[in-house]
Amino acid sequence: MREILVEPLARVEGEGGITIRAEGNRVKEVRFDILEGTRLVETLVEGKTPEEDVSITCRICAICTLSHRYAALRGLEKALGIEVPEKVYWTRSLMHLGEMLESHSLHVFLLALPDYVGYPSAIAMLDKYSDEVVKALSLKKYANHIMEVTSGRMIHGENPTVGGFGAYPDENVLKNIAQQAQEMMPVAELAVDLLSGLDVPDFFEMDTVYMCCEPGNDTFGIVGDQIRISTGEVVDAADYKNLTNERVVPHSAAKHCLYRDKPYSVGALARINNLGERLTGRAGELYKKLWNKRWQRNPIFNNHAQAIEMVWALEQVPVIVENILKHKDPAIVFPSQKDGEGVGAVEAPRGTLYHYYKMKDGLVDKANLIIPTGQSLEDVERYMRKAVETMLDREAADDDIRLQAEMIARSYDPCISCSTHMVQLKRDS
Amino acid sequence: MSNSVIRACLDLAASVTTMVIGLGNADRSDDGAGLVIAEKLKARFPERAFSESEKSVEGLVFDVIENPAFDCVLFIDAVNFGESPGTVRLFTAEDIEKFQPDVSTHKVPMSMLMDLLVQNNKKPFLLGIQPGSVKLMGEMSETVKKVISQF
Repeated sequence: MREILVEPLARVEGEGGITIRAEGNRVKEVRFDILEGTRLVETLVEGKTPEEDVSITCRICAICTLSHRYAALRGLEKALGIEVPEKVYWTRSLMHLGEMLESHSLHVFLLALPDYVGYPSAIAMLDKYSDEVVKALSLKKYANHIMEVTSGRMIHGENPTVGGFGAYPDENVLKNIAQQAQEMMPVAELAVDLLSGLDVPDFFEMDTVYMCCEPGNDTFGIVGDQIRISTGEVVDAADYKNLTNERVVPHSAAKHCLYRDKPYSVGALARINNLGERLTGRAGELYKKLWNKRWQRNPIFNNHAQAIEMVWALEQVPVIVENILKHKDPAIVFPSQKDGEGVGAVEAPRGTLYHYYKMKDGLVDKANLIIPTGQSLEDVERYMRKAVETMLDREAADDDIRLQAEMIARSYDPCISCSTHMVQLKRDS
Repeated sequence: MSNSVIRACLDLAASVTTMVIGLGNADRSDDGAGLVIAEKLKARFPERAFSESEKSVEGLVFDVIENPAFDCVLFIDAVNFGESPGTVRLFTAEDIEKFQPDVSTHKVPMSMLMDLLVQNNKKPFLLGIQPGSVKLMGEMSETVKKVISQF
């Protein structure tokens, strides 16, 4: 038995690994192992107040902290009959974009790019690409600043709360953020340029299904109460269980998902594949220039999709700041009911994130969180398997097979800490 | 030996051209040592001492690269280099490159940040404190507490 192991998988969030087993040229097994322990979060929040819930669930991940907070707020506010004023919506949109920019800039420039420019690591890449790395750090710092200004601190900010914000960012700070968005644009375009000039291997390409939030109004966006599927269907996010069909698999601490018994992918590539034609401005120009049908069959293009999303996000920032500044600071909206159910869906950097809540007497009675990385895991393994099968036929060396499998897994930008948030309790009678 | 390393680090931290960055996880026993020391140094050098729990490390490194007023970064973190708990060692960028491969969570690897600083003519150092335990929600070891008390 030929065994190729990657332990741990570097340059992803959390502890993961890859196991490949083959007999001769026949693949016996390809697994994306999730090695992190379970985290108990859904059980932890039972009996907690909504405010406690948003402070606990966002701690599932320090990278996607604001996406978790936003999804929790949307789910809880639906369950409690809260409708927030426009200024709350726009300020949340800005914080959400900050997180998207922070996460994408790190992944594209520092975690994924070394694979494609032929270096074993970002460190080795520095000799030739030092300027690009410094520019990437400047974009990441700018994005961190947006997160800090809107949420109150860089990680796990407590300012966004149920029904609104504790305080709103200062007008001059916001205007400065809008101004800096234009200054940062060349960095995002640099990411597009670097990626678009690279060869993307095609030998593991195959069809899959893509899902993302439907933002409505024929726009590109990263929140929505409906889910757009690449099959052409649009389904209410409230039907999240039938969309995701979570199940436990023996080799992973994270649950896997299937839609109509088939694997599917979420994330930047899903958003660009499903909604890219709606992009306008510079992001629209780049989409028209770069996108082709291979993007629907090859997960490596997730890196390219993230780069286009950075351009889109920077174009959105001044528009959103203008919308925030149109409104006076509203008071926090309090619940109109104590019992109810709600699903909050947002696009985290890695894909669609669902927070479901059932509230009873104003407290969390039941919670269910479905995480992007868990939804894409079946596809990660499927694409790795196809790549390994082809490479074994071509008598590739173990190191080459290992690197290709890593590149596929890394292209999904997996967030392993998020994916192991769940717990299943079994009680003996 | 440990005392002289700590004295050297205190001298380094006292220089107005040094930025101090404490790293670690406060929930993991001795892994919180870097954060506690950074907080102590922040009381004396509020403009130049930070912990990763308050600021992005990459952002701070970017500030040092962009700002000619800084020529040095002192990172402080728990590092397992196989000595007895509470032992301290000062590492250079070269040491770290050999010591730490490009394995990281969703962060820029320490070795890369140090290399980037070197390329931009800055001097990075890492004060490593050998932890006794990094157990989740555990108590900090007495030997590590003793190191912290010297800052």
